[in-house]
Amino acid sequence: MLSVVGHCFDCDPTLTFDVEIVQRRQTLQRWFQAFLQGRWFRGSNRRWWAGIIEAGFAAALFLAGVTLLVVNLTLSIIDRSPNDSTLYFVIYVLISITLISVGLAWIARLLWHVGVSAERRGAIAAQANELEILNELRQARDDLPTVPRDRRLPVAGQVFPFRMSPSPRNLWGLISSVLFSIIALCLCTILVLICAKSFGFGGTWVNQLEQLSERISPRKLPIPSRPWPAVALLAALIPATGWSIYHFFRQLIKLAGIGPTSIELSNYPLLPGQTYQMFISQTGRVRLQVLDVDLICQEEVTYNQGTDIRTEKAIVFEQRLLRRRGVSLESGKPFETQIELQIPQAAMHSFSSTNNRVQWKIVITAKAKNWPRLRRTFTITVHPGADPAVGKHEVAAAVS
Amino acid sequence: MTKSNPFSTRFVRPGGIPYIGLEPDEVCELAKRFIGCQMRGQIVGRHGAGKSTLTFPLAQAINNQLQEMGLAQGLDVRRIVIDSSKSIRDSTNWQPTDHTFKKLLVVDGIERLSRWHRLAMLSNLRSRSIGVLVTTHQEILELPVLIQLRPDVKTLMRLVERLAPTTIGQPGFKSHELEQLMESHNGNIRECLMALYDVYETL
Amino acid sequence: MQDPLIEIHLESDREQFAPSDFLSGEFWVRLKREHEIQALEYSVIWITEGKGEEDIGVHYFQRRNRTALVSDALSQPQRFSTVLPASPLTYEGMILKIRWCVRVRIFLSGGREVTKDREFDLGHCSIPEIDLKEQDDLPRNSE
Repeated sequence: MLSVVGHCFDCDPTLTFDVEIVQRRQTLQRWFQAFLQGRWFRGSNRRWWAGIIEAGFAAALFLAGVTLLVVNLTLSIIDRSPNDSTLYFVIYVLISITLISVGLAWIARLLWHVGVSAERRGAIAAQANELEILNELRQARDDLPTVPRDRRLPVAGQVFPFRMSPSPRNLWGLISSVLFSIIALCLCTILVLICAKSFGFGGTWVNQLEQLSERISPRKLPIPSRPWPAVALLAALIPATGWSIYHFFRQLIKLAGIGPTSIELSNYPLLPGQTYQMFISQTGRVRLQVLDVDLICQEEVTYNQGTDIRTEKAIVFEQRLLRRRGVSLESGKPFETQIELQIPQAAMHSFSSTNNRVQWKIVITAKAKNWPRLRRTFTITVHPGADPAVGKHEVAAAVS
Repeated sequence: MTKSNPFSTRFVRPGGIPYIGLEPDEVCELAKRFIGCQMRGQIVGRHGAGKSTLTFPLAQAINNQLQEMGLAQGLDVRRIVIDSSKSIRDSTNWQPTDHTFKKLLVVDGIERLSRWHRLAMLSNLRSRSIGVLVTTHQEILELPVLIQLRPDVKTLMRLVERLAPTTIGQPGFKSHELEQLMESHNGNIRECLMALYDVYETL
Repeated sequence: MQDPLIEIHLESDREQFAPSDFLSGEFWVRLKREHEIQALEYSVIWITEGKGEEDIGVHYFQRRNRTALVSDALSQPQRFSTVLPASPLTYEGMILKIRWCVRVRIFLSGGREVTKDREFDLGHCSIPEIDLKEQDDLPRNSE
């Protein structure tokens, strides 16, 4: 590459510039691709730290941006002198927004990247024959009073005809913890600044911030000399903020490290006494110490205790379908396996009435070192034994 | 055929289970007292003491007493449970009915309402000549106390004898075990019966 | 006052039925002179039992008011029949049980009610044995 640059420089000076640009573009492209594909942190023994560092760095960038923005805005409101330029203010706001944007983009990339394999399969699922199977399933439920309908109907799978709806990833949990962290952090930052200013702490950095804000502030808000309520509130808020940030990190790391789980079944709905083939796929980028797949039947009832309503659950059947130790999950290479699933002969079908329920579930649990425990649940429907709709589904599956 | 568990909720819920703590004569006396207090009164007791259960035979006794005294041809009873939603408007919105029938509102868990809410409701019921029988964990000032319930292990034993006479003396149903059960559930009869459901399943 | 007697019989004294089976039978109501009947209901229902609140599902229901009851109609057995549904099946669980029955309820003057149930099984489901296996690296797995 150097020789090319030298040669080009000799013959046409402008070309060097162009070539350099191309080189930079290529480098940037490689860097960006590596970033998108998560190649920076490849290597089996470093995956855990890679996940932690990457998620932590992304979250830290985001939170730093939020803090900077809040500090800037707070100081500009607390102390503003009308005659100074708004240049510094604008610069700080831009830096904050950049940090927040990069942090958010990184978090989004982490979440997207881990789940890429399952998403690909999700795209395959959008096939024409899907509608036919779904209509069959809808019709079947009408013939079976008290057998609950699936909240989300299965779609066509890649290995087997019925792909169960993946258990939802706790994105709302992440969003709520982000929002809570932001609010707590904002309040905390504002209170720290108010307290530091009123007590004369902070030394140079507060003074510098004050000087800075004096240049750009058009008005002043009066701050009491000793704001004890603010101090008390701050004391209560610091642990809450710390906890919310810890919770946010935990949620993010969990989502970034262990991706979606998907299962596919050879036939659906299930019938007592029948054996089925099941395909399991788990994406992510951690090394799981142990991965368990269990079939569970659970009774759930609600009753009134005086003026309270209580719910009680009892697991009446539990069968381990698979236990696998040392499962290595890598980006783009999910753990995949096929196992057999049998519903016991005299087992109760899925049932739901106002206060009572029988539910069948496939529960996938996994444990990785220094990682929050994974538990994914797929609610499956078991029909009563003599189900006239079975034949129809088998035909539909064969057609698909 | 399915084997019934006598401690199922359908058998032990208020209205489905007899009230064991009082003799019929005592319930009658309570009904007379309630009518004497202008059809207003409260039953006080902790969780699972049998307050709601007592309202059923008491309402029946009030009905009988009103008929015997010639005060009414019958009793129109409505029940509301004050839960977190605290929706009482629909239940108290009586349509005009036969005036020969007295109206009675049974309110379960009135202590959950705020004092102002309680006062508003009680004054509304009084202005419409509707009787009110309430259950509460703590005594409230607005209504006369009819009875304070304090169930003991004997009440539980009599109840078990009534619900499942064959179980007495069997593992889990011996008197000292019932005493322990009562102690561990702080005298909450309802929770004891729930625990006995599980014990019965193992027999 | 003595309660009226109600007797319910299922055809062939059958107790076990399968989904979509034909259920038929008859019932008698033996009234005393002092009994004044207001209405009569007969139904085929399922009931939940256990720790939860009771849920009832009505599969078949008939009601006859006093005006519809001919004076000596109840001296004859009353027949009923229905095709049973596919679910829910009779279940004997841990904290939940589901029972099927034919229920006859008569309403007497003065607000009194008398009810009689005749149970039967629609299929029969029970709790399978708990089988918590420790299976490491099953040979049938194909990765």
